Amino acid sequence: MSDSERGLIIVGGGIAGMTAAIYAARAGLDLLLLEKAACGGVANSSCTVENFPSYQAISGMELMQKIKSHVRSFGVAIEELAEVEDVDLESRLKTIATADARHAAKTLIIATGSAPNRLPIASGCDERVHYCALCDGPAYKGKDVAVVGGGNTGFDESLYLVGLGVRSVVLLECLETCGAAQAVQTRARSTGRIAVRTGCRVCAAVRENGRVRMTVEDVRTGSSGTVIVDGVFVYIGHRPNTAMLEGKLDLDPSGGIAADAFMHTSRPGVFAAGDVIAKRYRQLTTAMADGTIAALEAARYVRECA
Amino acid sequence: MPENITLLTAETFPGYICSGQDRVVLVFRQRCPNCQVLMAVIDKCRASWPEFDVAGVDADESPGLLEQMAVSKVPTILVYRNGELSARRTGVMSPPELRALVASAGAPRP
Repeated sequence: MSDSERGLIIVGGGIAGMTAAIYAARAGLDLLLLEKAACGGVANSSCTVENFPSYQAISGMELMQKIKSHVRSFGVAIEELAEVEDVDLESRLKTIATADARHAAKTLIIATGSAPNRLPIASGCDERVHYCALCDGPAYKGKDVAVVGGGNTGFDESLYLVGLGVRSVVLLECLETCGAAQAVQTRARSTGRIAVRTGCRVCAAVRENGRVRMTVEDVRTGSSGTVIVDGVFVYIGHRPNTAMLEGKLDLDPSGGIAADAFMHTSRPGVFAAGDVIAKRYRQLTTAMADGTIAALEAARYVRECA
Repeated sequence: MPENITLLTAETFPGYICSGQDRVVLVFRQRCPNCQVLMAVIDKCRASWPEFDVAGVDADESPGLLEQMAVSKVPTILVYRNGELSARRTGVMSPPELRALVASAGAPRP
């Protein structure tokens, strides 16, 4: 276990953390970026990103690799597979402990992102319930699948699955209307292979004759129906990755970090950015804006503390 | 695909899992982000245990083999002991978790 002191530690290598790294490096901060898995975060799992200015369409993993290369071009120290085990935010120097090392810095940016929400039912067919079309979609070529969630991700992944050769997609949304952008909804419907059902809540899913038998409730009438498919892909939002921060930072009821417009948290010298903060819109572009502001404020904090 | 992972096919798989006491097999897809993470985890384990031997099955190249192994999600790690499946786990895991999985199957701890 070694101690090293820096100006800034960024925890989380998604787009918010990587953007913060670029701005902090340009501001001259000695910084370290810690990522528990691989840089890119949940965006790595996006089959296609169509709302990132400068690319009409690009795979999430390719986009994240480009941004990581950009960060590396500034000589930023990046440690991947560095899961944070403990944080001390109370002292003047903030400390972060991973399995391999202990790090200290004048200021921190928490950009730990979010994790996909799981299907909130006891499923007897976990092997057929998926959260990554890039990973598991190819196995369903020529088969029928259900996609749960009518946001942008649900529609984007449905289109990806159809492009892989999936025979049909039934997209289930529990609200009365889907939240996805109209353009992607129109494109999905125009394929003729994606059926959208709103006001449907998934109540159960069981294996039956090698397939998945889903029980869905019509939220308007309370009546139940059945959807039989070969596999289920779930995109019903994300929850902030803040378990290690409980009791150390103010969190909102959903678990998101309470941060002001300048990304200040309840602890001086601790900033937050991206999907981990409590906010309404979680997009690549909003995460980049958060990362930008957090880095500029972190640089200001270090200057004022000097 | 990391250079130091032997790629298995339906033809080479049966011989491989019977070729030693403990064999670790990673089922992956090239475009799967979680598979990339797990490959990095394997590399990190190897840094402390160079003899840690892992072979790979590309799910897109060997769909029949996946069916035979009853694998429907990637990444999946399977540990074979004397040719018999003794442990398996799906999804990303940390280096300590991978070490524990391999150890649970009776293999020397990396």
